[in-house]
Amino acid sequence: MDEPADVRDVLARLLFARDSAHARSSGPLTDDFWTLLRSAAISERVVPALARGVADGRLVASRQQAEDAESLWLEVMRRCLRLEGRLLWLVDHLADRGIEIRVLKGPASAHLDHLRPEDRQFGDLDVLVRGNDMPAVFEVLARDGFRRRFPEPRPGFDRRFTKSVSFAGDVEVDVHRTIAEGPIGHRIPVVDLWCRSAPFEVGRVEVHALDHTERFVHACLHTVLAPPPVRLSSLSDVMRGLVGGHADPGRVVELSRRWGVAAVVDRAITAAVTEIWWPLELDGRWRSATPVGLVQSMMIESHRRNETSSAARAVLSLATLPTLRDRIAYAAALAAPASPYVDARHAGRAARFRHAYRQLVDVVRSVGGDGRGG
Amino acid sequence: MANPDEMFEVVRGRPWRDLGDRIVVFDHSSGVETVISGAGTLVWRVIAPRRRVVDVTNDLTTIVEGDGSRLSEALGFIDRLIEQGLISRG
Repeated sequence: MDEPADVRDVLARLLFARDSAHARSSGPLTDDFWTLLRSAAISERVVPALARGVADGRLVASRQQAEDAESLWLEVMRRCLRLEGRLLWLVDHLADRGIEIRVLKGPASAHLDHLRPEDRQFGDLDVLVRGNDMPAVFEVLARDGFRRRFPEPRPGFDRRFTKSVSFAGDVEVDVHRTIAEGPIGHRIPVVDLWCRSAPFEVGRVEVHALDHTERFVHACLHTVLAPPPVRLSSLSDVMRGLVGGHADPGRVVELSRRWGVAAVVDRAITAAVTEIWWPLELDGRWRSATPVGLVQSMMIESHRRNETSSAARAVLSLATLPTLRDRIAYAAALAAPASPYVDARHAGRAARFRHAYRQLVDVVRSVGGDGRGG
Repeated sequence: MANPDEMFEVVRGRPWRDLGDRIVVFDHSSGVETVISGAGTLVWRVIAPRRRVVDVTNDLTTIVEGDGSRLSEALGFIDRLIEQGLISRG
């Protein structure tokens, strides 16, 4: 996702600074720059911002470039519509079984946080279900031809510990039990995700997303707990939360402290206002000024480093699982998983342990050597 | 497409996106995608879900401004939208 800084800067300004002179191109776009801009918009998942920038004249584009932008926008929106069609299908089938879901990320952000759904593209479907409902949801998907990408470590692991399970079919569907992986994720009481919801309509069918506070914190987690550089589309979701007026800063700070993720939320807000746009007025209550401890730094870095595997995060998870019983069950499942789980990821059990040990040492060294890991 | 009867069927329970010069609607059950362009986009924006009568009326007035002969047709259309439950009085 490496592109020239000015290309990313142009796209970032198109996302928010609609009335600002800074968002306007100084003259017609050259073909070479258009090629870079187009490629970056696709990889950063901000094609709608590019298309609107051309349509409203903030980018001075040739006729061919304008047609290209329209064509790209139509293509990504078609994909969004197919995903929403699948969402309606899933909601309908699960309602027959009395199963509730919460729509996460893309579709929820498009309908609830952005000015128009057309402004936010998304490439897959993420839904939150209760752990005990996961087997029934998996069955519904499997019956329609969806295939699980990776097997469960041991029977029952998904409903107690897993963050999400990915299914491949005509679209990709990620079925979540919670909203973050590993040591950070295990700190979040799953019951909190079901206390409230924010409804929205897809084709006149009411569906539910996380409530505004939880959804904003999720956007922050998604932004920070991923190897950098973060996509502009993810930063845009955080910005929408800051300026949209739906999420209350006091409630966000209270929730993020209770979940032990205040440092993550701080980091996400800093990234968003630094890389996209610093609002003229930003409520000071958004910043919790929470000091970051060494263990917290290690946990965050275990997510952000490309070289760190899920095995290393799993080891760190033992520190944050809520009960001793959970830790024992979790450790047992990952120490001696079923063969299909191991075979899908490593050359063998010994290779798996060596891999996890190396990753864990790497994380400890990186945080210890850098101070607080950045 | 600017036929109100066809519009009613297309909008019912299907996700859509407004791309300015065209509206794209997708029916997952049939896999059919409908693209509405031209005058149809104006009609579509009138009947977009959750619009209140007063908003719809204002939009219609703007649309038919300068051509009063279409206003009675447009207002009759609003009554049908209300009967169908697609919009409600504000």
